[in-house]
Amino acid sequence: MHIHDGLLDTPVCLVTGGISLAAVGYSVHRLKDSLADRTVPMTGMVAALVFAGQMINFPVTAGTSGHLIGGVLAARLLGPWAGCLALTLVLFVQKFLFNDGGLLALGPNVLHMAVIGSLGGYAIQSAVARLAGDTIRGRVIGVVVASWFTVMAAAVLCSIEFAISQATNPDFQLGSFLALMMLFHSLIGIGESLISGGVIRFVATRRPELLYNPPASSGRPWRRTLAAGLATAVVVALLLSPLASSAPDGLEAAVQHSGLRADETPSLSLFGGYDQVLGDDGWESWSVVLSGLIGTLVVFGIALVLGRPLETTPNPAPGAPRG
Amino acid sequence: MADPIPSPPRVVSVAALLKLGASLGIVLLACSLSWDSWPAAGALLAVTFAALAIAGFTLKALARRLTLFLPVTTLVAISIPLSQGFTASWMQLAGTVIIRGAVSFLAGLWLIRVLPFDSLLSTLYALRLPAVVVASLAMMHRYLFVLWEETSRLRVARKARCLGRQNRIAQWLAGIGMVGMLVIRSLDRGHRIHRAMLARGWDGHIRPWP
Repeated sequence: MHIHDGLLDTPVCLVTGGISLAAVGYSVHRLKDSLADRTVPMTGMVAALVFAGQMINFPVTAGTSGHLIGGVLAARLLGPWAGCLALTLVLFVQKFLFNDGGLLALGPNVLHMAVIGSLGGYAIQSAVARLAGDTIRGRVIGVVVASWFTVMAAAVLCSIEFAISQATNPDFQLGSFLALMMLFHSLIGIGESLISGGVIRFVATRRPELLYNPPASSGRPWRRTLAAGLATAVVVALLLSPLASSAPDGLEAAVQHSGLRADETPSLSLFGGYDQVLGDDGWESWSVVLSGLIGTLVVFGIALVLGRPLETTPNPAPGAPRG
Repeated sequence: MADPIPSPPRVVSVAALLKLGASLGIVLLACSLSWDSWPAAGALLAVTFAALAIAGFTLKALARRLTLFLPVTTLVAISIPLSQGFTASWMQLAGTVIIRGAVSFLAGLWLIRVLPFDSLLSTLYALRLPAVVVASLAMMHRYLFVLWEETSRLRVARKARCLGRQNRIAQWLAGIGMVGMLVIRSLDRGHRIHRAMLARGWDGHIRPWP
């Protein structure tokens, strides 16, 4: 899973590095509130543990082995913010002590394993565990599902980053590369799920007090998460949209190659295209950025409205008076 | 009330910064190489080899490290023509990935040799990296080798208990149990360390070393 220098272009590494820096910086900011407790020793210890866990390879297919990534595991043991920091430390030490992974590629590696693995993984496992019930079984199911999805999400993001690095190459087919990446990583994801789920089940049945329990929050518990998610989406839209390839996408390329022609029907779109929001007189680049921003905000608003009916209130503590 | 133990001054080591900058510069140059610019790649490789030789790397040690690195990078590079077709341009692109990766890898090896980890930590602290990050990093570095020994002991114990070849399912179950036991042991150790830190006056205020 570790990307070495030379695979991705420097601008892609710098942009992903910026996103990673923002996410890790926010995690550290959140941890400052809990400095007086066990954050430092436990983060250091779990980081060392994930490092050791990554050394144990498991057979995947004939001649191929995989190893634990540990983002979801760290988030389940420490919480999302300390988990993200722990995985970042693992990647940092792997680079600066053992020369594993790249120096410029530290940004994308942190984004794939620490940010998606811990922050994304924690969000997925919390959502799944809420649906499956707050039992050992529910927690294990949450970890299993989150582990597989984070590995796949990292593989998809890595493919997109590589495609952006190949933006000047019109022959590059993202679909083929993506298919190959997803094929291998779906197997690795199964391994990650089995290990993470198995380990969490092992710990939850023997020493459940060692698992992370989120502090009880009052008011709207998802407000900060929503704000962080929106901020990340906006940063991605603003920074990555100007780097988008102008080559046709998979469907357009297939239509062009096959000689098919779409029927010319009047368009109901508000804007003529992504690059025509501010007109087409030299403002194309800024139009693309603005389109990314508008699209992100609109999709976020729709998701917020549609998600309201799914909002649940936390269960009262056992023994607490009801009503 | 004023902190009775003030933090040490944050003095940046110029030598450490230069080493970091030189390594980053070589990686940046390597990542800008293309298949056509092979003379520049050769020159960069020569400079990196010279720096490694001055740093005291033997040819045998370098060969050992490259033997571990090159197959993995080649496998990644081969995935490009594997998905796009084995044409001349895709083979050249795969070759470029290998050359870029190899030069960057050698630059990383040089950095590790000339900038020990404690110097790196001091530099990070001097560069005003948050104290919680530097302290957690130091803690991780301290216990990395302890846990590695613990892992080795667990592996030896597993081998001693399981004579003969195991089937794949048994290997997986044993591996999961081993990582689970490692989690419990390391978290217990983390709790003990935390209690020891409290006994020595830990109040959450990080006072890094100079």
